[in-house]
Amino acid sequence: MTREADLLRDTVWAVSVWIVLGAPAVRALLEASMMLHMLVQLPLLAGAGYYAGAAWRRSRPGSAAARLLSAVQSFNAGGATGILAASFVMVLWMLPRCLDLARLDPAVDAIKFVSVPLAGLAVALSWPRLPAVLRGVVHLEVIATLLRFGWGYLAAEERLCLAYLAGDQQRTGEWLLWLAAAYAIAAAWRPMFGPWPPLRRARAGAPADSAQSAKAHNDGAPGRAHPAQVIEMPGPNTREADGMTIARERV
Amino acid sequence: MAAALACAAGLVAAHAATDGFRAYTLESARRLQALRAAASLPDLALELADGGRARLSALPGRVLLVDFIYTRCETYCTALGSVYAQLQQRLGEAIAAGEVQLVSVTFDRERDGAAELRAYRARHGAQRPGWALGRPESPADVQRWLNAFGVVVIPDKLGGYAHNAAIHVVGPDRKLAAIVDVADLDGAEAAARAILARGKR
Repeated sequence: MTREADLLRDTVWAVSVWIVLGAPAVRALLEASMMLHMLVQLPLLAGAGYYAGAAWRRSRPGSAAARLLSAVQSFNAGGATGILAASFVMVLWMLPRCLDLARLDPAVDAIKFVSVPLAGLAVALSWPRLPAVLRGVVHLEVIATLLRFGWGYLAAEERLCLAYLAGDQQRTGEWLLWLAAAYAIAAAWRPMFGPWPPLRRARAGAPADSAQSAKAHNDGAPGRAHPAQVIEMPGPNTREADGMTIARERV
Repeated sequence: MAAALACAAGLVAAHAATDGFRAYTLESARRLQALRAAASLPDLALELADGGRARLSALPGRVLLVDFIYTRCETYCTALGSVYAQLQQRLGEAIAAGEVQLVSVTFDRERDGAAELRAYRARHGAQRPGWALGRPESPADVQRWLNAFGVVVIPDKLGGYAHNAAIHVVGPDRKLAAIVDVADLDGAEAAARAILARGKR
């Protein structure tokens, strides 16, 4: 498959997920429960944006998409702008008041349907540029945020969301805590044990993908580098890889 | 530079979304809103349990204490019922003077007819004077009542409903002047008396 077709396919995928999530029946189903709203719909929306952003990042140098990307990225030194904006968006939508409004007011929900995918997109564009130390900070902050919200929802004695029942709220809190634990393990896994074994096998069995994986490595895409390289590559090198990304985008 | 802007924009958005970091839930937001600037209410009508119909503007009493109920409710509506019975006693003299009226609005239009509503009042040992009960005139009207006061009703999956129960204090201008917690008898009484005192000056 040509690179353009590849990117087109990824973009179509992301947009399809977005459209399906926005379909009235799916929206009603996922927003009927706080748990599905917060732990399924929001991540899928952000994921669709991330997927589109990852495709955009791989656009052919010199193409209009790549030129637009480098224009956007010129405001995103070190990925800080994107990560900060995405953090605000995601935290705000996890507040009980915003969840309620999204459930009760279609106009507010429309804002959510635009802003959350954009947050995912911003993460996709910013993560590779983010210095390794700051990535660690972001990971910690994600874990802390999930724990804070999880504990808050679990321990609240009254209903915090008017549109959701107390039991639903408690279950959401509980799952947020589990998610925080899972995220912590996932984030700590690679530095400690190297790539997830099935991923490693898949990589070894697919040499045709090596060019792309090497490129992904340069991009600093998470989950791609061998642990030894991670150890040899502290902060400054990541910045260098980042420089290469920028150089390629500007071709 | 752009990062600082993103941070500033994020803080502005967060400030706006939480009323200056003071209301993180919709319930606290609507209570804060009522205290800041009393919101006008549409002049909605009720079919009264004691017969007849009345619009909000035509209900007797300079101050109305409005709550939303359904009579089958066995949790906090029961609390609301007994709170109203107690308020009826505490505010007895203002009620006798026609200055305060307690109003219970059912949102379970299908099941709560006049008889059920009167039985609900009787169950709490309360008398008729000063406590009007009623139901909106149509299902769409129920929604209008709930929207006007910012009440959200959801099925509780046990055949009943969950809702943000509270006492809504409505002034002589028929604006929503305060929203007081169900358990806060003193607060409800104080809010009613404050409005009455303001009128006398």
